[in-house]
Amino acid sequence: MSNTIMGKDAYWMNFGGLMALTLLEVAAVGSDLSGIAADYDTTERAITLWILTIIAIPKFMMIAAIFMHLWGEGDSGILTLTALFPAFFIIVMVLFIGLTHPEATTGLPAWCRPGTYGL
Amino acid sequence: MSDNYGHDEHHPSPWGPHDWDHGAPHNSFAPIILAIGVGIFLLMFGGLFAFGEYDPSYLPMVFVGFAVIASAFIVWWRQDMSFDGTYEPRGRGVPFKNIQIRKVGVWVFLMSEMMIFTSLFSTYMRYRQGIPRCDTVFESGDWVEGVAVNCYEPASQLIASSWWHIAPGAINTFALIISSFTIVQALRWAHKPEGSVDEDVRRKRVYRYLGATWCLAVLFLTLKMVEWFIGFHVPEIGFLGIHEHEIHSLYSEGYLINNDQYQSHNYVDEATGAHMMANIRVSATMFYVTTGTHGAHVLGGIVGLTYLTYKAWTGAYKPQSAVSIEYFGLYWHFVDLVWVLVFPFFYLY
Amino acid sequence: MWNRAEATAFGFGSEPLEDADPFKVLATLIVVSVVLLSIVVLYVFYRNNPDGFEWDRFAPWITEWITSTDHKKIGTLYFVQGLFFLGVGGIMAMMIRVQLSSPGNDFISQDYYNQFFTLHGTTMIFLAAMPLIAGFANWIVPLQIGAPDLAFPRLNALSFWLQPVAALLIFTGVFSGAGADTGWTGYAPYVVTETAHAGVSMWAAGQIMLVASSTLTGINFLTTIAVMRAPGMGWFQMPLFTWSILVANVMLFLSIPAFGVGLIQVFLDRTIGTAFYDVAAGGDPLLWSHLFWYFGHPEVYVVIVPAFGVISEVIATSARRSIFGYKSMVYAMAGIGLVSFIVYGHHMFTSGMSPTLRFVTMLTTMLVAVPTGIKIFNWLKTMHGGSLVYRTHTLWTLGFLVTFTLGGISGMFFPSMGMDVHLHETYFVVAHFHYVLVGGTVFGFYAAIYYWYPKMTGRMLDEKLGVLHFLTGFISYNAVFWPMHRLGVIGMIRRTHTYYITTDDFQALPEWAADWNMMISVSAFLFFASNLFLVANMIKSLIRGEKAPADPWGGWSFEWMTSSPPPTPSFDPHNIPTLMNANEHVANEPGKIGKWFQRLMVADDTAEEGSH
Repeated sequence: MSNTIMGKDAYWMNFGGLMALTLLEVAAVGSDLSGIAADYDTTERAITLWILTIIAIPKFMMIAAIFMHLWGEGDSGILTLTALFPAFFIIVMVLFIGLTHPEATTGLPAWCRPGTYGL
Repeated sequence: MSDNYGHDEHHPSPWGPHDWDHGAPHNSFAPIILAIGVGIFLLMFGGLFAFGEYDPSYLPMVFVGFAVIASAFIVWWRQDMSFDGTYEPRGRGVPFKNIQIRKVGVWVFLMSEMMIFTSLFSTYMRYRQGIPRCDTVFESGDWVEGVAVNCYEPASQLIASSWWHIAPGAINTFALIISSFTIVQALRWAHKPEGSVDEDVRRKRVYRYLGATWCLAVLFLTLKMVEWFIGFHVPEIGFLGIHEHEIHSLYSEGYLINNDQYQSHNYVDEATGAHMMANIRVSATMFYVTTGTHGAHVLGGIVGLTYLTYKAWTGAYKPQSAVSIEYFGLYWHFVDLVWVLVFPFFYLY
Repeated sequence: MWNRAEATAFGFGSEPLEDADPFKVLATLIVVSVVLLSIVVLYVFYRNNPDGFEWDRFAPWITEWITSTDHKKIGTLYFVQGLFFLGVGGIMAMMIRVQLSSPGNDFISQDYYNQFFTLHGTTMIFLAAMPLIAGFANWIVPLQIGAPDLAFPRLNALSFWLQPVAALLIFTGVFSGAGADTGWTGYAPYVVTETAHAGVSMWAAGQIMLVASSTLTGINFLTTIAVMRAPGMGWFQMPLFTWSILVANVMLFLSIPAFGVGLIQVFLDRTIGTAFYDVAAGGDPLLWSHLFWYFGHPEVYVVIVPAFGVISEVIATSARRSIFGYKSMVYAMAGIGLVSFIVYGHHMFTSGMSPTLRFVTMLTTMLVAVPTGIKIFNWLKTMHGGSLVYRTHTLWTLGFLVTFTLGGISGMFFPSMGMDVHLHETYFVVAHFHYVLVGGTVFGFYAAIYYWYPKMTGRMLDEKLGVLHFLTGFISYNAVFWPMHRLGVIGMIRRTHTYYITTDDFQALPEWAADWNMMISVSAFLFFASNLFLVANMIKSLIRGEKAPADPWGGWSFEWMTSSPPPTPSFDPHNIPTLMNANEHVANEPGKIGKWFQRLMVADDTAEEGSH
């Protein structure tokens, strides 16, 4: 059952994990990442964005799985599929609306600019 | 209209309360009153503001709209108060067999909410990419003093500029996570089987956890208002090395939706002392409307929590009816999820 | 004679009609129609029960209608609203046609004309077509799946009541002459300027309410169909009308939030002064187009797919055999639903949108015609294997097959970019969408009315009047919209209040364009008049129509197993009918997908476990 994670109560563990990840996020923004940015030949801002995205994903999944009971319950499987059903439509909207600003192409990396794949 | 399958001639009042032994209400005044209230509110709001001009004479009518909406909710809740979980139909057939219908309904509703926030995020992505950042424009030198340049000034320039500035946002994040936790604890206590816990202890725990969630939600909105409009004063705390200073609100820094002549100390040319003026209306719009939409959902949650806390105080949440808290919890966790996305991408990036 | 129609507007100081304020004329026409109709309806009511006008009987009656959450009553309320606005939209169309009957006409000024076509579009789509579909869905779907009501009855009532209030909001700006003049598509940046009239804000606000209403309806129907089907009714035993409502509602609640967000952006721009679409501040007008058409394209499928469902039902019953290729029909509808989300760029080909997206949507638009074609062939094959009985609903269905196919074919000229650039914003577009919307949705609605009216009211409609309605309607309708194809190809521009016969290169319409326009206008009045046959038929049947049996047409779905009209609740909640499938093996054995789901589904014995 979903009541325990690693022997301790699932809700408390989840809560602790979420707080820890949030602290990491705030630390990532506050600290100086220019050294890492130089290593990867990109801006500090880009590194920050990557870290924030990478931290947001597990936070998302932890809330959905444990607080919203999408893991470990009898109805979790079906409800997870239901929750994931809009994924196609969300991806379409992000691609078609979010990434097609007329001026956007100047700022995009080459691999996602028009003209790259013969299009 | 002829055969009523052996029902007795019961006609619960459309004003409530309702006898849930026979299923959902067949009559209710709440829908039409709610529709009229929303209509009045939108009509009067359109008069209250017109292209940025504020006309206070419409304000009383806006409040009339709120009052009508509130009365609709009161009628709705009067009918729901007597609900005790005996009528909780479950689905038939593939794939939702044996799952409560209301739970399925909440998840389907959350799907539409996902699309709302996706639309807002797509708008944000579109504008973030399409409009060059103000600091990039400033550094490129492609500006003239006195002429406002269109550029994107993310709120993070102001909010993430110091630990004190980010404090309200960070506290809000913690507040929402804690509130997700308290709601789940309320659910757990309501679910504890009869006999395993004293009923009065159950009642107290459930309504205190729900009340805590309510308080955290109110704290969230309060800190948001502090961040947006009020700002706060940091006192001198010598032994921690904290100097006295003022943390300005976004409003007082000029981060406004109608500000097309924004000036910041970040954009002063060291050599010449020239100030770059920026038209930051789009940036401010994106920030306030997206975080405001999230805030409106928190407000909706507070409205729901008011009802739940009151009902919990009367001791109505027992194992049979505890699942109602779960339905609200699903909505509330979704609000938390959206904040998990909004906070890094609007406040920190 | 073809040049100038002269008439006098009585009661306005006897001014010539062309000098009368068009909105006064519109208001007068609407009020006169409503008064006449009310007199007739009250007379019918009085004839049927002379004691019915006492307060003691009226108060509970009106309370019942205002507060009811029963799907049948809400369905009837949707019909009343939908039919009323169908008439209002029709009156507006008549006035538009008067204005366009001759070149250089000034019956309606340029400014007012913009408001007229805006309102005609918004009214017809949101206040007529959607409520009529919701009316049939509310009435028929629970009956077809054996459910006593929808999953969330009070939310259903809320969905309905949001609509008349929204209609009031949308129309508030209109009668002062300051209604929305942006087109129903409300393109940015015009829609957020002060030049666009004050009514635009309320047009947006009313539509925000309609978005909320549609979202709630979508949630309600998806949940109902997913969880409240009668025992024995698997997904592939549902009637095709229910499938069509399911697909339509899923499309609706996934796409309409984008529209809602766009409307809120416009509303906020026009009220508190945000800068979503302020070009001077860097706002992007294309964003509105994307948000609007992300919704707008699935929306047009939302209004046609239920008509597909009706056609399937009617053809099967009229041909007295089951529909050919049931499974492929289901997959075709689902395919249409899914693909409709990735084609919307074809409404924006000339907007300056991303070239990559243009290419993608060109291909997907060509693709989306395929499932529709499959459906048409299946309908034809159903008739080929059966023996058709010609009733009015059959006639309208056959008419649908002709007009919708023609509309679909004319639509296939648009995915090709080159053709689209030539045809964009001409009357060819107007012809295409009226063929699929009127020739599709409205004809489907007529078929549905003649098919299900006996079930809903317990009275039969008069077949003779029905055939008369069909003949006059079908012929006049084609006379209105068929010529518009040619007019569009030679360059008559839409959304302009008039046109000129000139020989310059800019707008060189030949002489016969004027004659054609006059003929179209006359036919439009005939089409409008033909609908009076339907109104008369409904009223006559309410007064002295023959009582309808439970199953007048020999249909096989569950709604025909109940009485006409059905009782309330429609089925005994403690004794839901079980679908006895002729093929027991199919009923009891889950299919491939069913087996996959069974591993995830909640088992029966764990259903009672409550604690977490």
